[in-house]
Amino acid sequence: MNIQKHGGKIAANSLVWGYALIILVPIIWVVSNSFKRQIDILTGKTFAPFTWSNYESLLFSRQSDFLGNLLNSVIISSIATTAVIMIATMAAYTLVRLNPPKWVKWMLLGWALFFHMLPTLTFVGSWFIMFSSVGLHGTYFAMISTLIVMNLPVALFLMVTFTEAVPVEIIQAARMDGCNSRQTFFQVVFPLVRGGMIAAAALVFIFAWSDFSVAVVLTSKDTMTVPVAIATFAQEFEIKYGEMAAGSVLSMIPAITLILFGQKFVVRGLLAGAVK
Amino acid sequence: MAQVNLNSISKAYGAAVIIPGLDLEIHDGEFIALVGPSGSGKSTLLRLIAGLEDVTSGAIKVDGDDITNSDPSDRDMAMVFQSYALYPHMTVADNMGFALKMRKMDAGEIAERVASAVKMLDLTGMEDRKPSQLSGGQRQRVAMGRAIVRNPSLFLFDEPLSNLDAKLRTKTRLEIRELHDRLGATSVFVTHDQVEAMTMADRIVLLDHGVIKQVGPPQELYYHPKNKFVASFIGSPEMNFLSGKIAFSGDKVALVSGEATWDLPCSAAYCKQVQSKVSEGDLVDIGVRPEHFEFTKDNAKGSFEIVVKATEFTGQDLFIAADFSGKVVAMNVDSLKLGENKVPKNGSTLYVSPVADQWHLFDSETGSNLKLA
Amino acid sequence: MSNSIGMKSGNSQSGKRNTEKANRQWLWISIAPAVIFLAALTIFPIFNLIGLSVHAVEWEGGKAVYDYVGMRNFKDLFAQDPVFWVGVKNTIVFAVCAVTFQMLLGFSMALAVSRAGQVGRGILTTIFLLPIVLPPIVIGAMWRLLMGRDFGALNGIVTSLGFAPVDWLGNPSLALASVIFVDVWHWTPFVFLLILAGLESLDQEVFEAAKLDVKGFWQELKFITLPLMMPTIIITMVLRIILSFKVFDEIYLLTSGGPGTATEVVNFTIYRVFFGQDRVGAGSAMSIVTLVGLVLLITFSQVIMRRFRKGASV
Repeated sequence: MNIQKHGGKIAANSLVWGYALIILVPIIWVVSNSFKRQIDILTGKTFAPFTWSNYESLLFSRQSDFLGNLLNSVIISSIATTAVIMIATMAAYTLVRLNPPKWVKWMLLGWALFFHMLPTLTFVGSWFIMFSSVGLHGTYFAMISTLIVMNLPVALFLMVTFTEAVPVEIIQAARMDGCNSRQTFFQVVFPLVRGGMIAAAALVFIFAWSDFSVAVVLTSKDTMTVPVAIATFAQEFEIKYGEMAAGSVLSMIPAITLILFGQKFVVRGLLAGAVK
Repeated sequence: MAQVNLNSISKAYGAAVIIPGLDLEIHDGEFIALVGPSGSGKSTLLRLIAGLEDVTSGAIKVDGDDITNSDPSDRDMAMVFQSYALYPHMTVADNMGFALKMRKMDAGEIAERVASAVKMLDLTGMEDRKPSQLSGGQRQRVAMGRAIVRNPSLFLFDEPLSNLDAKLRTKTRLEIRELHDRLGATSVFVTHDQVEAMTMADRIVLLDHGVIKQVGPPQELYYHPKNKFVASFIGSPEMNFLSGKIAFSGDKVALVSGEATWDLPCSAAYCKQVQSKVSEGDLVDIGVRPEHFEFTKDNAKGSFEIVVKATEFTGQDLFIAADFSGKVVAMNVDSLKLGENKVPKNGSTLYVSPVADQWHLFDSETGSNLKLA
Repeated sequence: MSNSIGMKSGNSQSGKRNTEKANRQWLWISIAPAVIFLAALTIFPIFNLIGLSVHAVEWEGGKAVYDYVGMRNFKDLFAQDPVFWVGVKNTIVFAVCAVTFQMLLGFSMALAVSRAGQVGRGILTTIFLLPIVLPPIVIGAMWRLLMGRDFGALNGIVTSLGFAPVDWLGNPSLALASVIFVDVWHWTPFVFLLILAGLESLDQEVFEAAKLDVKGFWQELKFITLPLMMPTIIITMVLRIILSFKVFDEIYLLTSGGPGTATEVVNFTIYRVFFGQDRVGAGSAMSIVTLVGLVLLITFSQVIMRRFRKGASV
């Protein structure tokens, strides 16, 4: 019986760690490629002299806008994330504790969920027309607004969960102590959901940073974000594999940082978002 | 300090009626307890007074001002919650000073009030701690401090002692009452524990399903319960109830059930009173508290013959559970009087009788106290 | 009578009204941004699309010229357009296959981990989170490099084993399978996490009691584990199917819908028609049809989910 148990345990672990390898190997391969010269990649050498040249030409050469793209991504994602979290937190508190009319709660959360499930592409066309017709195509404003809308459902559901965790009696105590709704939010609720806001912000930042289907349509050459830049590498006649790998690595950085420091948050966020 | 008037207050959640309609007057400076079993509506009533819930109909007046529709933050009442509801992100001092800060009080005065409350509640040295660093008892005191510094018209307590262990509870009971007296406050105290209510309150409001069953000082509820509900809720162990028909012989009163007849000893005045309120043959419920039995001379005619099932010796008291005429009857004997070696054995037969005049007459159907009718 | 706070006891009528007004203001102000964004950028666009779909749109000098054509775009779509319906078929095949594999693999691994215990659980979770948080475009780029016919690592391994290089992405019969593979790689960890959470929330005592009646691993799986996990499984599956209709980024990078129409999914068709061919009217019509289809699917799935949510352990 013990052999069976051990055999089972070994099989189980092999399966799982096997998959872990399948996850890691491609990523490591891309990372290693980013440090190889183009020639070495093309000839399929596993071990090749280490070089920074891909990163250098990506970031610093005159032909590459990648540094600018990075800047665009950082600015757009940061602003969008901050905005979405603030909007979602305020709305969450009101929805959860202030008893708005039933149709408001249902419509806001229900429609948000619904919208979240629809393919973004079906909206992108309309967004393009809308922003172009008022001359806002290619602006930060266009990207940030759409990113806010796209991430609002996730942010809302997360913040609703975190706000519900604040005990009702504390809110009641604040009312007895003389706070109206606004004061209760800023003095009591906000400090207590700050942890949740950070968790949600981390997740939302990743999603905003990763967006491609909207950015490819709504950004111009000046406001291009990192994901679009990476895609354009693949369109070129001669694919610059090394630089594509380097760009990919750079754009993985937010995600990897998040996991290393905030793994618990991410899991909590994913589970909460999914179950709702 | 406040005089509170509740007029025809009712509360319903959709179709579920919690409080059908009640009237209550709370006097300035008194300590009034709202007691009742779970679901009696006592917490709901407190929350209506606080404004945390809206009344379905009726009016609440404080010192003549109608506050029925006022926001809780405008009512000048302070509340101590069952879970204390301290702000986790604030220190003890900030917790206590928060309401004052919200009312834009001068920082110096806030510090003064907080300091005096801290001293009053024996929390010196804890001012900079956060609630998570305090014990249960300390948190409870901070919750009280938060209410005290406001010097409100009304103090509201929502079962604040439930989460304390028994010893701390008894000690804190005294402290709360002391504080109330010292501050000259008006307090409304909700509890499900009748002992708390009896020991702390000037008047007790006993609620059952949102209806007031009796209002009065503890002595009144104990000695003159208006109905069976009050009689059985107050006093521990619960009052014993026996049904039967009333029988008179001369100026004596007895209870007849089937074949048996039991004497109900009464003084001349008492017997006369009873005879004027009920007639021979009326079906009644007799209520006798466990502490109001005494031993009769063995087998005296008309005495209650009980068979001991179990005994509980607590030191001061001896509780006896016994079979009597198909029911279980509880008896509380002063063990000092009984003597150390005289604890009755299980299965032994005892003969007891209610102490003269210390029994109640209740209407079988309505449960109301016939003597008070 | 006023108390020492300086407030009149009871309350002043005006104080009461101010609080009520302030509260009502807050109620609407706090919700307004969310509502505005959703209304302007999700509800309005739908009407916009409907309007556009009944026009043929030409671009002249940077401005759009609208020409009302009634239902022609829709008629063309249903009658003549081959690409769109191939796309629909591909999308459905993609969704069903990808999700099936994700569920099987994810469930097996979750089962394995929950029984086998905690060897390096923390590290494992970290690694498993990677595919979920990496930008999809990077995942597409990564596998594009790996699956490249000439320089990809996969073919490097294949050739070193003595076989001819396989054109994973360029061979029409393989392309869709390759794309499905990438999607499975991407989302299996997500399924794994959800199922694992569900498994761990099951009451262990039920399993202990069952050990007396049930022999061996497969019986336990069939009679105890699966029935108890059914709500979680169904919910996860439905969620994944709906979300797999959103796939776009990886396909763009891996195959751009090719070769031919082998990996053309609906999203990609819409993108091409709208922006590649500049046929805004037709693109809008496609968008509307897609939205309607998905609305039906989502509503149907919500009914299913609601029934199972009651029993879900997650």
